Amino acid sequence: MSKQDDGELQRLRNRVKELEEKDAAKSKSNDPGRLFFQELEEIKKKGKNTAGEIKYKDVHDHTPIPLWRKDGKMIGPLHPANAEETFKRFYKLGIILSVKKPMPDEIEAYKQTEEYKKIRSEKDRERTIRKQKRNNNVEKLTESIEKLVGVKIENSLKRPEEVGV
Amino acid sequence: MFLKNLLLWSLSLLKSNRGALETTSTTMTEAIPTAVSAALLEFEEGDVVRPLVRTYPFPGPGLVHSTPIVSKLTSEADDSLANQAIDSGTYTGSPSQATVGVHGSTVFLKEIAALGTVDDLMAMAGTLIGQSIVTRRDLDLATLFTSLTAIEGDANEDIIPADIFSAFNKLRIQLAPMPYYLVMYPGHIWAANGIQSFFANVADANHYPQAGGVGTVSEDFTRSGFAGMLFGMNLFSDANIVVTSRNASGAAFSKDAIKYVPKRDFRIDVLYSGPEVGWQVTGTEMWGEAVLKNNFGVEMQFNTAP
Repeated sequence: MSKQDDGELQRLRNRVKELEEKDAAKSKSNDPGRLFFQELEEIKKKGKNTAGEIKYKDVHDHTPIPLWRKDGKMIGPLHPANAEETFKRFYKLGIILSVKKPMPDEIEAYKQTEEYKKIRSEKDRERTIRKQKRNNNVEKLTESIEKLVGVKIENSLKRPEEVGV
Repeated sequence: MFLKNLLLWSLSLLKSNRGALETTSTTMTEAIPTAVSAALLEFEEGDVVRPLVRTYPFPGPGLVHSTPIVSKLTSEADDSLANQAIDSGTYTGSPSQATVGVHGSTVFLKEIAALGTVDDLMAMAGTLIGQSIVTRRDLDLATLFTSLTAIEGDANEDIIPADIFSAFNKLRIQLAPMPYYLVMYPGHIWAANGIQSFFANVADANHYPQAGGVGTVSEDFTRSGFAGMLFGMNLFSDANIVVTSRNASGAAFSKDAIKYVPKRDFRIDVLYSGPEVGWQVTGTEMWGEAVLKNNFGVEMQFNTAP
């Protein structure tokens, strides 16, 4: 934290203190508007009227729990027995889940590991293929038809950027 | 002195005694009771996933329902056959076990509240309890989607047609019996980056180019806002799926991917409590759920909004 930040922080603290003092002084005052709400609040606090209240309670004999992947993905929340099964299933695939939610800095640290980079690059490669394949095919098809009929085909299909997608 | 004060007080009363023409709207408002219409209950998403998965009724003894998965045999091509084991232990996750538990909610309905309500508060309580349990069951089943090990998509990825075909491919390779169900969060379907965008007349792989004009599926989307089936999957939307940072997990699966094990049906118990002057209204149901065959399902994790 820089000196400038320190100064700003101190200024804000002083301001909060000042406002709190002002508020405390006001609450001691005999301002009728303030007294009206204060007294009403006291009546509600001290009295009891629960005729219109309906109590609600959740009935359950188990607490579903989430499991977390190192990259921050949540699995569940699952029935404890299912959480155990899921933990074992992923463990056999070499993925160790945890009941402890990873903190942002832990997620960031994991994303710097070779393990994550390998998984990510494989995902990205797969995604690139999926996104390019059809595009290329459409263009190739258009080109081959143009060659075959010897006429330039006006492409009526719009590019994504043309329709604001 | 006392008489003087009494006289002054009497005069002030006479002064403030307003006639009929002076009646203010404030006094009339207090004379009219607040009219309460019949309440409109908040809706909840229904039972989406349960009818799509395998149901094993489990009314008898036991709390853990176990389904062994027996591995396949290999037919040999000679006249000297070797014995093969009939084995239920080779498939990862066999046996599939579902532990049943109690699910429900209870309200304490005060008699005074019931008497003072325009609606039948008991019926209202019953409806709300029933709805909460249906939602709980759907949520329990839908959260199992994230526990499937096969996955399409990721955090911060928009769905594209190839993702659905890839899920179809995975299910076919694993010999998952058809039909296949695709249960997605509504935003996966109708958001600007959802399934509906496949049918925009745009020529790239994020969409489904309709070079020869729109097809019937996109016509269905344009006309009805929905298509019952697309890319070989029966499509369902489920608002109970939990969304985190505009990203959520649906699933593509075959019926045997997940099992639902009902132990005891829904029941409402009403108990009057004299000292508390009201009824304890409790609705409960007992069931368990588990992944039945992990490779018969694929998690579909995509963005639900741009």
